[in-house]
Amino acid sequence: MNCSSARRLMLEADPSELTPRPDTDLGAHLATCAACRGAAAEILSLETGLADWLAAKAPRADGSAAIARAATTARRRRAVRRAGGTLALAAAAVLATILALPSRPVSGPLRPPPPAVAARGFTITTPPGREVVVLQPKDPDIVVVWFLPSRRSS
Amino acid sequence: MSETSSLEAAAADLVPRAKRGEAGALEALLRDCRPTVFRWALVHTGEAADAEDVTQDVLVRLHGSLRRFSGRSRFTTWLYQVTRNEASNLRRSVGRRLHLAAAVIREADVDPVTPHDPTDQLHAARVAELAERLLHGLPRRQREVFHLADLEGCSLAEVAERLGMQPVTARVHLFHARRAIRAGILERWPELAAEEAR
Repeated sequence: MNCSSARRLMLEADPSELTPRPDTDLGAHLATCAACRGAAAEILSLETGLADWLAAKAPRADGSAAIARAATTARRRRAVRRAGGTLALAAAAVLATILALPSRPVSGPLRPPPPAVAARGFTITTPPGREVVVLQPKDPDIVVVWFLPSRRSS
Repeated sequence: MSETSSLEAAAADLVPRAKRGEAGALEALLRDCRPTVFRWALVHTGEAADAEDVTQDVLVRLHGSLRRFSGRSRFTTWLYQVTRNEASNLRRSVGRRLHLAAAVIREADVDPVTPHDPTDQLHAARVAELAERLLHGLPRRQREVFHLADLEGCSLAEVAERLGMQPVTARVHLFHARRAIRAGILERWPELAAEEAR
């Protein structure tokens, strides 16, 4: 093998192949050619230097502050997602209620709406002329109470 | 033990504890991940300032989504993919700003510590040159593959798994990257250049 072929191989060889060794053509050439051996050593040295340079890189910002900021942001995003889900549920419930109501006035006697709704340990009294929708999302800390104008009373 | 292996070992202990809600475990995990995520992000984005932003976004994701890590893949593989996604999001969001700001940031980015010894100074300068070529001269895929395979010592199978590509594709990217990196090094060896010219 001449130096030109060795150079071509050196461009793509695994780092482990860039040392003199008898079991590969390139390794055998490196064992006998000082110039190619020097070039191969230079490649290894600079690539090791590059790995060390990268390993020494670290974020400039303070770690504790960054972690605390990440925790705050994550909590805020969770709260926004939760609120978004609750609003979507409420909108769906309102839509379902509107669709369920009869489109014409109901003839005949009507049963009065229940005066109160029990929801998770507390009672909601329906104001006169209103109906109530209570939503309980997955989050136990949230209850959505929706008072709607009662169409049955009109 | 490589840095990734150390992180994997630490995560094996911390991730289950953090998922159980154990106080301090999640914080310790974030602290351990942060430098590694930053370096991955630096290779992805090519800019230290953007790498800081990506690192912060990954910490937020980790804080909010660790429960979604099922443990089917290695933690470092999952974390690497989260980092890649966040880096891609940043690239899409900043678009043209990246190019405009790059020239300014680069000066502060490739900042070798200047040693006293002239030989060491030369070495440091050439390493900085290589770093510049790696971060700003190589296409992203080549940069990622070269970094994982030759600088972090991952096998081609691991590289392919992390980057979601076939090993043969990873190999092609690796060869292209090595050629680009090493061609500049070998230019400094006139004996070899003269030999090739003949």
